[in-house]
Order: sequence, then C-alpha cells, then structure tokens
Amino acid sequence: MTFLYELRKHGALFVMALPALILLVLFNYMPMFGVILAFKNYNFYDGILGSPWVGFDNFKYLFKGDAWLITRNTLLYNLVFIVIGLILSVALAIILDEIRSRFLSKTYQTILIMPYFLSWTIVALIFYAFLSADKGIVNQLLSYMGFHPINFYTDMTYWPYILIFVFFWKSVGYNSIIYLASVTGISPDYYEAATIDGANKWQQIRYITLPCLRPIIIIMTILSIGKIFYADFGLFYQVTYNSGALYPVTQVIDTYVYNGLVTMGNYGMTAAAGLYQSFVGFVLVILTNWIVKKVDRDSALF
Amino acid sequence: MLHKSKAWCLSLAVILLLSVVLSACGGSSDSSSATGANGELAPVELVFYNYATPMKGQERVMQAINKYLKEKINATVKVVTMEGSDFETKVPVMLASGQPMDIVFTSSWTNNYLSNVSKQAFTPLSSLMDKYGQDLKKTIPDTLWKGMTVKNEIYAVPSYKEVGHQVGVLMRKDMVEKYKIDTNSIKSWKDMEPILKTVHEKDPSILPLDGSEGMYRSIPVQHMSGDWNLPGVINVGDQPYYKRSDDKIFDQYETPEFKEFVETAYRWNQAGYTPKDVEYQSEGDWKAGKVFAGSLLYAPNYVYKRSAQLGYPLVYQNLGKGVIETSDVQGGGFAIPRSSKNPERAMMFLNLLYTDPVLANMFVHGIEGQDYVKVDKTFIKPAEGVDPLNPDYDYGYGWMWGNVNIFYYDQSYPKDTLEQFKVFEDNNTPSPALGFNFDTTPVQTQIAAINNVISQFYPPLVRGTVNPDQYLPMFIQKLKDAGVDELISEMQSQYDQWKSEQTKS
Repeated sequence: MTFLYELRKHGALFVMALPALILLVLFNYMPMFGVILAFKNYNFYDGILGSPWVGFDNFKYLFKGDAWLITRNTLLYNLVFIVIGLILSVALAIILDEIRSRFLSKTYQTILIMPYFLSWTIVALIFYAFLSADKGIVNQLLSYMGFHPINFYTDMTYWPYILIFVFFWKSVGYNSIIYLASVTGISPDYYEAATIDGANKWQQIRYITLPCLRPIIIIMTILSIGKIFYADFGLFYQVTYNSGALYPVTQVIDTYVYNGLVTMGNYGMTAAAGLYQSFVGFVLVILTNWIVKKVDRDSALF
Repeated sequence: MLHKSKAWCLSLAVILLLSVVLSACGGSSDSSSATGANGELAPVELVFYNYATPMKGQERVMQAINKYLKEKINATVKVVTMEGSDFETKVPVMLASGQPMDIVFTSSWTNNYLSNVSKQAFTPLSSLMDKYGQDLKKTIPDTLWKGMTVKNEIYAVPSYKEVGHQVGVLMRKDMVEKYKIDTNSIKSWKDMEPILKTVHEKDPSILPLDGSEGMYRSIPVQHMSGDWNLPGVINVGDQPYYKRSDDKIFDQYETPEFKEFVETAYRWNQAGYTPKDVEYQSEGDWKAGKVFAGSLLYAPNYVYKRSAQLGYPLVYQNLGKGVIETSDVQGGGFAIPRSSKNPERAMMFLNLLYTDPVLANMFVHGIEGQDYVKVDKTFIKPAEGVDPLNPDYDYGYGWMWGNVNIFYYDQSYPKDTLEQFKVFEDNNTPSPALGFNFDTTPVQTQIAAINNVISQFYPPLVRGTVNPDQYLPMFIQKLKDAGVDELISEMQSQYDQWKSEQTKS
C-alpha cells in the first residue's frame, strides 16, 4: 500500500519518469528474455521458444584454444584503463580547474575532448599514417636518422604501449569532464579557509579536492568495473587492423568472438558470449560494492 | 478508488505494449493463396533484396519493370540494392527478425547460403519450381542445381554465370613485351618467380606483384566446408598439387606443399616482390601504373573491362586448370525467405528473370532507347547523351541479375563473349565432391576457435610478412589445440555417407 500512497502523493513525478521507465523496460528488460538463446540451437523456423535446447554447448568455444590469453588481455588492459584513466582524468580535471583564464581553459578542454568524437576507423587511419611499414611517418623518421625501420603491424613488442596511448589520447579528455564538474562544484569557502590557515596548493588538493571527489570516484570506478569484461572493439580490431601477428597482445574477448563467429552467424554462441561477459561483470560489481561497503558504508552504490 | 484505477491503467498499458512487441517479434506463418477466387492472380508487391550497387536511375527503371511485370504476372517488385558490409550486416539481421521479404540474394561469401539453410531461413523450392518454375529448371544446368542441393532439397536458384573458379595473373602488356616474358611458360604459381625477379631487377620502382595471397587459391582442391579458409580439402584433377596416397580429406595447412608456398611467399616479400604493408591497397598503385602483376579469381572477359578501367592494356594468364567445387556454385543465388507471404509469385518472378531477356536486360541495362540502344542481337551501346563512364543506370556485366546467357553486352566486349563462358567452363575440372555440403552443426565450437587461429596466422603467412620457420609450427599446433582433427574426422564421416548415398541413387 505504501507504493500506492507514494504514487498518489508524487503522481506528477511518476508521470515524468514514465517515458524513461518505458524505454528502460523496452530496451533493457524485454531483451533479457533473449538470454535463453544462449542455451539453444536457434533456427528461424522454430523461433526463439521452439528451438532445441543445447545446455552449455554454446559456451564451450569461449574456453577453447587461447581462452586464457584472451581473458588475461581483456582484464589487464581494462585494469590499466581504469586505474591510469582515473588518475589521468582526475589530474586533468584539477589542472583545468586551476587555469584562471577562461579562454585558455575552454581551448584546452576543446582540444582534449576532440579525439573522443572521431570514430575508431578514423583513429586507425591516423595512427596508420604514423606506423605503416613503407610510408609511415615514424619509419621515415627512423630511416632518416639511420635506424632500421620497424614493421609495426607484424611486431607485437610495442602494441601494449601503443594501444594504451591511443586509448587515453581518445578518451581522457571526455572522461575528465565529469570530474571537472565536481571540482568546479566544490565550495570556494573551503579553499579560502585553507589559504588563511596557510595551506599550499598540494595540501589543498590533498585535503580538500580529493576527499570531495571521493564519492564520485568510487561510483565511476564501480561502474567501470562492471564493464571490465567488455573490451573496446574499435580499439582492438580497427586500430590494429586485425593483424594476426599481433594477436598475442591484442586479442580480447570481443575480437575473439567476432573473428570466430563472423562467417557463421551463430546467434546462440553470440548470445552466450554476451551472457558470459555480463555475468562476470555482474559478479565483479557486487564484489566491489561489497568491499566498498566494508570500508566505507556511505560510499557504496547499494 | 482513484489510485487503484491508475495502477490498472499502467499495468494494462504495459501488457498492451508487451503484446505489440512480442507479436512484432514472432513472424506469422500463414501464406495467402496464389490465385484469387476467380482463378485470376491477385495483385501483389514482391520485396527483392539484391547485392548490387544502387543506381541513380533506379526509380525510373523500376517503373518500367513494374509496368511489364504487372502485365505478365500481375505483380510489382520493390528492389532494394545494397553491397559490401552494408548487405553483409543488414540482410542477415532482417532474415533473423523475420522482416517480410520475398527474394533475397545469398551466396558462399555474403549472407551465407549454408548457414541460412541450417537456420531454416529459406523456403524449400523443389515443389514450387515444379509448379511455377519449369522453364527456370530447364535453363540452369544440373551441375549448378547439384551444388545448391542440401539434404536432397534446393533452397536457392543459383546465379547462372561462369561455372567454377580459376586463378590467374593480370600483367602489364607493355612490360611483358619489353622484357620478352613468355606468358605461356607460366603453368603454376611457381613459374612466376623468375618473372618477378626480372621485373624487380630491371625496374625497381615498380612493384612486381600486388600480393601473394591470391596465388594460393590457384591450387586445385575442393574446400569441403565451403569456407575457403577452413582446414579440410580434397585434391581435384588428375595432377594433384598435394601429394597424397589416399583420397581422404586432409588439413591443407599441415602439408609440406603449404610449407613450400609460405616459404616462397616469405622469400618474395623479403626480396621486395610483394608489398610489406599489412593493409596494402593496390588500387592507387595500379591506377598510377606502379604495379606489374596481380593475381585474381578470374571471370571470363574481365581482362577487357580491367584494361579499359586502367587505361592501359593488360594480358591474362591462368595458373593451371580451374576447379568447379560446391562453393563455386554457391557463388550467388536467389532464395525465397520463410517470411515471404507470396512464395508462389516470387517463384514466377524468378522464372521470368532467368528466361525472359526483356525483363532481365531491363534490370541489367535499363530502358532501351533511354539507357542503351541495340547494335545487334547480343550487343548494345549507350544511348545518345549517356556518359558511358557515369551512366544513370547500367550494371555492365550484371551477373547479379541471374542468367548471363540472356544478357546484352556492350559493343566493347569481344564478339565471342558468350562462347568464352563455355571455354572457361571447359577449362575447369569438376570436383569429385561437387554437391557435397558440410553440415557444421556438430563442430561449431571447433570452427569458432579455428576461425580465430586462421585469422591470426593465415593472412601473414600467405602474404609472406612473417617468417614461416617460426610461425608455421605455431599455426599447426594452434589448429590442433582448436580441434582441427575433430573437424576433419566429422567432415570425413559426412563425406563418406554422402558418397554412399550418391552411388545408391
């Protein structure tokens, strides 16, 4: 009955939330029914419900061959992206906030955010212009200086660094916005008081800015941990030109699923991959939230 | 009471919404009858998804086509043309969601025929064809029907174009003459080495070969899975490339012959005969005249078209005999999806498309008088005011419209164009396994893993960009880990069963 009471009391608010709720049900809850595809040998004639059950057969390919390598790559890259990404974005937000000239601050922001709006295909081409074997800028420079040219797309040594660099070049500007918004929201009173007490810039950041950012940092981190088993397909497929010689350091779960199934179009196996990824993400989110709860009750998501 | 009714309204709305969505998901399976009450054909619109370049004049030509079709079978056709990844990504999803369509292009290389058949996406055609497609059945040779047969049923009408595949090289004619290269001495890919060497030494600014990958396709085998990259082949022809004492299916990547190929490819790449870049795009260099030769899957008369495109003469030389294998026949075809409400009329339409030159040539060249004028029975030229390089509507050699034997050809094509198809076919050896279609269902796990190993090792090895001493043993080992032996033994047992069925009937 409390729900009905709430409904009557805040009717207008519920009506306002309704469009978003309907969309949520349509696009996030309805498709969940498709999860059963992961356990079926789907054919169009029998349909989703009528197709024969196959148990866990559709999951087997995820644990065959290079499964360990792929899991390692996916997790390690995402871990680096989360940890270093957090440090870089927060640092960038603080630096941008410190710039007093409005014009300069806006200019830097625009320049930093720009790469985010390029599609991966374009990004791949930009880096190809640098790294290509015959005509790449890097190799022309190397041979000009008397070094041996490097065939980047068949030599995996450099790719962990290249991929991490490309990822941050593209995303760090955009990701810092949310922190920048919080930093700007911190009341100037704190800083004034700190200045009067004789705190320097470092101490202000250490004792005022970071503690104020703590809740948002924790929320963002828990959310990104939920996606730790999803790799950025564009980054790992397009930027590397899907070059086979690089697979030991560039193959991640998303590219593995794509390369394996693109010619077969097996819906059951694709659904299985998606379910596997979200299941691991789900477990990790619950786990992280549990740990956060142990350490600091108020910062936990739920 | 008020709040109660509100809650009811909400749940009712949700239920209504769900039912709409659900009914949109499940396709209905009832089909209307072909004929109306009085035996007349009821008017219908057929939706036709084809793999073709969209043309500027499409709407204008479609009006003429629909007028013609209306008289013949009281139907109009709505043609949607797409190509490349557009077709590859959109059409399978449409099929999966049961979007109504009546005719769809399917093949071994896009919108895969076999995988659609195994997912039961297509209507079986045999009985429809007996009723509404008699002429069509007779027009297309048995070899082609055999290739489309899966478990004694046909699910697509094959494109009737060149039969089989053949790999050869296109070379710049001026350089062939200048360096006195005897093209007739080229019998297989191995014979290219001294030629590439000569070209490279005489003119280092020219790239001798635009890639070694294509050459590997000149080896005469049938790829038993229909996928040309997957392991599992048998020898075709009386002088087999792979030296085997038995006629069993084998993993081609594990043979000494494959080793020889990739070692050669590596040597060529090191020597600078082939491009070093992984993403080398040859087209710009061809246009600039910076390439000597390129290997390709050849279609009859292509050398003329290509020479005209590039603006300088080329010569063609095939690398040994070609092959007719199952996947060649599945190089293109039209299926009637299960979502079609009018399969009978779709069959009538296909029957016309393959046998009526008037209809077929409207699809290929547009409207007579507006787009082209006839020169004689088979040959045409662009109508007055039509820019031949940028026509409003013209597919040239428009194989994607069905039956090339009833098409007209531009007068620049040689007089023996149609005979060339026959010559091409005669040069190709039919595979002993022609018509065998592998059912991948029992080994999907292995294939998904193997596909990954292939995309990791196959391209760099056959392009010669990595050292085979290091990479080939890894390739073979990873194939084993991914379950290649299970794949081959499954193929063999299906093949043995197929063979015993063939001898019975």
